[in-house]
Amino acid sequence: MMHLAKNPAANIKPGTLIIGKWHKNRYQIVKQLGYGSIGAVYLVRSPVGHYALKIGYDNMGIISEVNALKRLTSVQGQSLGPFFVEMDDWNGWTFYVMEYIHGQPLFSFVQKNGREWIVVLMLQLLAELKKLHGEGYIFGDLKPDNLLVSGQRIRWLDVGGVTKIGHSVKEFTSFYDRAHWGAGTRKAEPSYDLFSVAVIFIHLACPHQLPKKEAGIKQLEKLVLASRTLHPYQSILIGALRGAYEHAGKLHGALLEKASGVQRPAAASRVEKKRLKRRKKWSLFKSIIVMAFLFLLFFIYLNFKGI
Amino acid sequence: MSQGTIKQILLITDGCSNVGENPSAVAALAKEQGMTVNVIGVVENDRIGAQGIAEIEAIAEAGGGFSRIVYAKELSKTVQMVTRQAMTQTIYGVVNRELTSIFGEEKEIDDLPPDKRGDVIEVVDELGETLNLKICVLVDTSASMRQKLSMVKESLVDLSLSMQARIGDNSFALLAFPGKRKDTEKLVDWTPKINELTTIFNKLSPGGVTPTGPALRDAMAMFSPTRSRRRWLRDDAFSEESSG
Repeated sequence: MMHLAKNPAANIKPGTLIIGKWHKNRYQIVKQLGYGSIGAVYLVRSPVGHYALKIGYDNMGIISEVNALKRLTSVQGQSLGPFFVEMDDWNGWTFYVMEYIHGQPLFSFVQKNGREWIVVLMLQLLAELKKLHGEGYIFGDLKPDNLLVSGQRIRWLDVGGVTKIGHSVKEFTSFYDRAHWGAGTRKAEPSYDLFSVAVIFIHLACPHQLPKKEAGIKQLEKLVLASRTLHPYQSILIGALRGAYEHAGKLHGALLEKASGVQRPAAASRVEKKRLKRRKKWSLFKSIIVMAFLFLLFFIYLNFKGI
Repeated sequence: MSQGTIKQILLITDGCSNVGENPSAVAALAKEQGMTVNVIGVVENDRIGAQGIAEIEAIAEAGGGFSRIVYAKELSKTVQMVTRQAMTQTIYGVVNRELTSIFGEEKEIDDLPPDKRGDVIEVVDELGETLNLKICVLVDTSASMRQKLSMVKESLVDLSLSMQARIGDNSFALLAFPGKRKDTEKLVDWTPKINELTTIFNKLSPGGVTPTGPALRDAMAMFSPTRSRRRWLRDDAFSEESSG
């Protein structure tokens, strides 16, 4: 049977050459990047560059993930997920190869670049979720550990939780799981992902105040109300926690509207004011012309009547 | 997998059996009857000895299921994962046998090219979501489990949350061992939700020996319609006797 720690798939030595049984492509192990419940991920070198390779203790789980990854890839435009390269077998294990994403963890990115990035990252995430939901799937296991910022774009890593809408969520992390907070079921529906997005948002803004789950989402709501960073988004975030948004598009729209509004009053600079003044003058000028024109018409009318 | 029902026994324990028949033999018997036996070993500050680990692995192996050794705080995730994996594996096994019967021996899912396998797994996932699931949870309540029972409770409620989100029907039964004056105590008979066991757990008084083998046999009996009814009657008589 399969046991996590002992499994040799989690202990492949750097330098080992993996040659696929079917496609005969060669990948050399550079180092282990991590391991999860169904397999270990390695950084590998191939003749065409570096990739990430996931090899499993659970072949079925691996194949199921590949299905999810292919789905994400087919949703593309520019997908947030790593692009899928191929799946093959080695030594009786199934493995798959995907893009190796360089990037910064969410928390350190926000810490370095400022909290105003939080809403931007969440908007990027929501735009992508909207596409995924449109295809009939949810992401499931949304959490900072599964997200990276590469360049200035958020990317997602682990697609093990991608679940067909209407099914039960395959993989989740209790802190970001609405069922765990008593705020809904574990059925895959768009609002499930949106709850996780709200918790990530809150967690990024208040990284040091981890609420305990005993008090339910009231605790999360309290954090939202107390945070200055979250102040503009209070009602939106609480709505998302309570399942008020049925689609990623709606939450995206609400956040975008707020975010654009938030930046304006602070940035209503002198230039802006001047432009406003100029606009006022122009409208005054316009109304004078219109009045003059009307007056002229009236005058002509009177003249004609006189004849 | 008669009439599309998956039958699982989930054994949660923290050590070695010390009374009664060999648990692996009983697990093998359960497997023969179309059940899967999964075993989770829970550790806290103590450790499960090598002998305990070996037994846990042997039971799961004989029962065609999965085994994990985890810290109590990881229990929820593990219970859920193991249940799901075992379910998938059962279906996978059935699909495999079908393939072999159609294409002859030596034709299994693993012999298919990767892309085709993806399609098969899609079907397996779909079946895992829609088939009925019966889980008999068997909890070790010997003295050393005292500290861990609250986490066990939490993990079972969590499992129930996940299973309720499935499309197919679920039912759970809960047995604890050792029981009062017998090998097991039936805490909850087949029910679609395990939420109700929350209160029952608080009444448990952990202690006694670890008759894992006989307990597994009782868990197995839960799946047989005639025997379970007979046992039920017997249990009633017992509880009357003990309450009187």
